[in-house]
Amino acid sequence: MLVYLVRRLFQGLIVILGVTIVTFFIPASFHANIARELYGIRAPQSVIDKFNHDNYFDRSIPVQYLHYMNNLIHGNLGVSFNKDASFQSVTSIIGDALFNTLWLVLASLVIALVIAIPLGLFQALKRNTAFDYVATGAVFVIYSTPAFVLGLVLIQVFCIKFHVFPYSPTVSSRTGPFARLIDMFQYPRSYVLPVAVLTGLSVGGFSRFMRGSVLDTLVQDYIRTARAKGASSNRVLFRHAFRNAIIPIVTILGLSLPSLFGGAVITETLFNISGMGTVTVYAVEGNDIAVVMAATLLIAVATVVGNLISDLSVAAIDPRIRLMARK
Amino acid sequence: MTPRNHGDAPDEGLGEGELGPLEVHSEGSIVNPALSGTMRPVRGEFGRLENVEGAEVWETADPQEALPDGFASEADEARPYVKPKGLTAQMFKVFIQNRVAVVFFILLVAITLFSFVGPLFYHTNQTDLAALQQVPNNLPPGAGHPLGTDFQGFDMLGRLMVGGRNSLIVGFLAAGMAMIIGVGYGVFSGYNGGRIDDFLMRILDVLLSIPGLFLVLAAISLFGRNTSMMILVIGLTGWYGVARLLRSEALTLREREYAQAVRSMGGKSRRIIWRHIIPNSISTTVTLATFAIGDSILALAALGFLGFGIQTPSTDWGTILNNGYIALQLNYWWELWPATILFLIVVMSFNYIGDALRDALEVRLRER
Repeated sequence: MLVYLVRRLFQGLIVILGVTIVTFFIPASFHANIARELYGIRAPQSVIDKFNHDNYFDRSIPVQYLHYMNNLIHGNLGVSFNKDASFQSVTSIIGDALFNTLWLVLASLVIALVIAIPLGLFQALKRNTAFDYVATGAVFVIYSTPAFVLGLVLIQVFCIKFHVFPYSPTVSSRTGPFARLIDMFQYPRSYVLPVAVLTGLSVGGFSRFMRGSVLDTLVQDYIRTARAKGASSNRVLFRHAFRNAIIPIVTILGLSLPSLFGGAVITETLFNISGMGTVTVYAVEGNDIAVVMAATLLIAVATVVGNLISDLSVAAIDPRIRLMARK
Repeated sequence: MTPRNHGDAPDEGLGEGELGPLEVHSEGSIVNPALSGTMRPVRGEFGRLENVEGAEVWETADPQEALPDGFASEADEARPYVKPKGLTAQMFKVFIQNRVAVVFFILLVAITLFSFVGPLFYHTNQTDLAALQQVPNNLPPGAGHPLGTDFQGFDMLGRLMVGGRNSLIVGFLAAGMAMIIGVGYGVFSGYNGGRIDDFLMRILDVLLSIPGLFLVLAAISLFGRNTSMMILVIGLTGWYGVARLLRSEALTLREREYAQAVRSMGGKSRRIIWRHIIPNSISTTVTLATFAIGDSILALAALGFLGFGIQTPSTDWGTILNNGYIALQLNYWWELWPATILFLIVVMSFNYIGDALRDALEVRLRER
């Protein structure tokens, strides 16, 4: 297990290193022009040179990359390239946005699992019945409805037509990483719609996968053996089938993170929530490539860490992997 | 063990007839259909060759004429050789049985015609912002404007056509690009295997851990919002899944008997890839291409919805939805819901048709 853990951590680090290469080199070719754009054509050359020197933009690309990496290790994401932001640090612009997005995504993941696992299980047990067909159809519709269309429908129905839920989530004056998480519990009603949109993105895929996974498990030899030994159908279902069928779902959890973060961008814009999505969209509007790249990097790191956690959880709950790794 | 000195020349040792009838290809090379796998007789219920309805029956009156000396085979007896139904025909047969997929396909064709042919019959001003000063904005549906006008005074029905045309064109082109890159990368990686494969797959891991939308947004903030740039960026972020699947396809196909046969006859890698691996993964590719078009249309719509779509006076469905979202709070339903329904039908069509194609493909595999 330890070997597996170390190897998996190492792989994750390599991937993050690869991501930094992407997030460094995409804007690197534009570095030479940034100062001119920030200060305008009339700015004296000395100001331009000083800016370039301070940001290492007058060095060679490898030196710039090392400087960038050194900054990253020290938690410094660089300086915003937006004139109006008056050279704020990227870290202060992003602030708690990463956590806000994470809470939103996590809440939707939990709810998606709570819906999808029983649904998929039940569909697999009642396969090819009217219930299965209706559920499959409904899941397909939700699965292929884009986040913003789902959001628009929900807003029209629940905010405009019937005033059931408020349009924008309530935000307290709290700050800190856990602020939005606490808000979610304090004002649950106002967070229903955003979380529902993100849940809709993943619940279809999860329940489809769960149904297939249970069906695959039910034909295994150990299920037949358990039945032959006289285990009750509930015991076969929960002790044997369910526990094995749940393992692939954990892997899928990690793999669904990139699309969920993409969906979070849309959801945050729709419901006007401050998070990585809204920060990125503002940065794109202000041509602030430093913030966009930092946001991309943070989201990628969150994805890698999420995948790592899901892989390690699989290893922890699946004795086959746990034992294989020990060898 | 793999002699490479023969090039593409057929091996003299073959042609004893036990491998089934040989085909003479247009460029003169002889390929055994039983080995190449691209053509094989359809087997009936009891494993016998069956005369499939609609299948073309080959004339085998004098096969010696077509075959060079020494290639006469015992299989050329009185029974006519039944050319199997092509892959496309088989898939079509299964696909057509899926009623919902057929309905979605018809809807998709209708929307495509609406977007491309519609403007020829329904003339509206969709370009001249100055002339729009005469037209009232946010006009409800009525005479002259069947779906009303939008916040700039554009006729909504005509707007939907323009948006649909742009969305579909961008979707097709970006998906085409994603497919070319994805198939190329995947087949190259899977066919070569080993360290090359490992390295290329690690690069893919890196790209897969960056949500595509963020990369597209980064490209927009660097290069601005022109349409060809968007096609390029959406295509460049849309090929990862294709590459993954084609790689695993290539990994299994390169070990198949027919690929080994080419190798043992001294065939080059290029021949195995172009004549065997790519043709044999064509059904996967077609399925993936269907999903890719849907995904590209969706990616463009997401950009449009965030306010980074195709610029006015032109438009795309995502931009229409974005504007309609603002109008929604004012209850101008005609500016949002018709576009939403069209867009949803198109996205669901590509998803459902892709699903149906995958089923058709799986049925074909099961029949083997």
